[in-house]
Amino acid sequence: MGTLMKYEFRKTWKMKGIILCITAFFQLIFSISVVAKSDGWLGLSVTGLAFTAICSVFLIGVHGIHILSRDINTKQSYMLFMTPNSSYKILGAKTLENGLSVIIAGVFYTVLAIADITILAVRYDDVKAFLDLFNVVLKEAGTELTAYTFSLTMIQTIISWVFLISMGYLAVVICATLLLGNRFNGVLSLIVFFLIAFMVGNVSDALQAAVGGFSGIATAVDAVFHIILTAVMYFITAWIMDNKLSV
Amino acid sequence: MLESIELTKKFLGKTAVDGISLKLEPGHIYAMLGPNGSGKTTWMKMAAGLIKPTSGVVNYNGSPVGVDSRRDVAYMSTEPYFYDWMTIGDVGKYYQDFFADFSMEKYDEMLQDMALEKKLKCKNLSSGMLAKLKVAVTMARDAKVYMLDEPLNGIDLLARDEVLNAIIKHAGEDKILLVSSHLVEELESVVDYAIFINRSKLVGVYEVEELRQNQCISLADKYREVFGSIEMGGAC
Repeated sequence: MGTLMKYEFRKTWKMKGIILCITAFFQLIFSISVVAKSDGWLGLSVTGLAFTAICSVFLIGVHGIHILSRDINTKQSYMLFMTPNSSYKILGAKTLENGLSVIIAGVFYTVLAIADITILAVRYDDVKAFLDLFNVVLKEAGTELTAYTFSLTMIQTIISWVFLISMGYLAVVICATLLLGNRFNGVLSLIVFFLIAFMVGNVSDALQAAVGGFSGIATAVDAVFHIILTAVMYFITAWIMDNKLSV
Repeated sequence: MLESIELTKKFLGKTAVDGISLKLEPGHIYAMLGPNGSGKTTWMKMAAGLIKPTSGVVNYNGSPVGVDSRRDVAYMSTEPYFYDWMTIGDVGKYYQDFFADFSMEKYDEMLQDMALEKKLKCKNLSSGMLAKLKVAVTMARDAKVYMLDEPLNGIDLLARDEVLNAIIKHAGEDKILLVSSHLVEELESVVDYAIFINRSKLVGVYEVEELRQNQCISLADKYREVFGSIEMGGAC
């Protein structure tokens, strides 16, 4: 599994390197503009960092789905499927590598955001005042913005995103197996993807409402729910690959 | 032993392999011969466990081919399949990582014989160089079964000799070698048996020596007779 993951990482490291360089660039501008108190550059760097953070987590996931599609629909598939590894192992390595990458990127950007917001709050009284005001509004809604609640939200988002990636894997594999040769296989698998996402979203909302809105327990329940669903998606996808996939 | 039983593969209404039953025994070199689109490649891919049969089964040592058989089966596809980012050296490392029977020493030796440099990127190789690389990396394994799909395609005469030599070198009591090719004459001196496939069906399995001795016909002439419907052979 480790060897498979090594090669999965090898397929994506260039893109991850570029994302890291862009982040470092905006963080450098942020740091300089905080020291120099340059509002224009600060705004640009904060926008850049926020945009890079959102895009990177999204891109890592989508790129992983694209790589799976390439690995089962082109001749490069032989590189994986002629090795003595089962589909469960191959997909497991992909899911783990991509999931870990998303989690690491998510945690990295969460820590970076907390650090940068703290710096801004210390350096600028206006920011501190804005955060206090924002907290008053949130308290009215039954929550508040702290490093803890912010981290909880990020964890929830990352786990949901990993689940969506596993669904993307399923859609790609269905497209290459059960719907192979069907003129509308792309559209059909997309419909399957959105249908499952819609159903899971509704169940997730209902669960959160039942447990009691935004709280540590609600987040934990939602996280466990998505982790179980990710595992279910993984087993279904690997089973289809093992029994139906011809490369 | 590699055995296919009533093996059939259908693609969207087209039958690529139609009920082929075949036994390949260790200690022999087999040629799989037939016109384009006759089903040779599809049969090999099913035997390599890459394609799932519509019906029938391929057994390796009594068990259906799958993850376990891939440890013993070295399959070389006719199409290039290496990752674009790989150099020739990376291809060797990749095989070393996944196949316990891969010998880097043997790989290096074959690369040297074939004048291939390790630092070259796969995506920049000519079709002839790619063909040689595929053979080198496949034959650097000490596998029990070698299946080479069109290994002589796209390579010059001298490289063909190298490939044929590599095939002969790897023949052994406990090995099965299966080679598909259109170049019947070139394989004639190398193979023990010829498997003829036409229009997805097995035509027959012929012992090359027996053809020469008893039917006074070369493998190439037998090919012409079977696929061209021309009467060949005669007095020895």
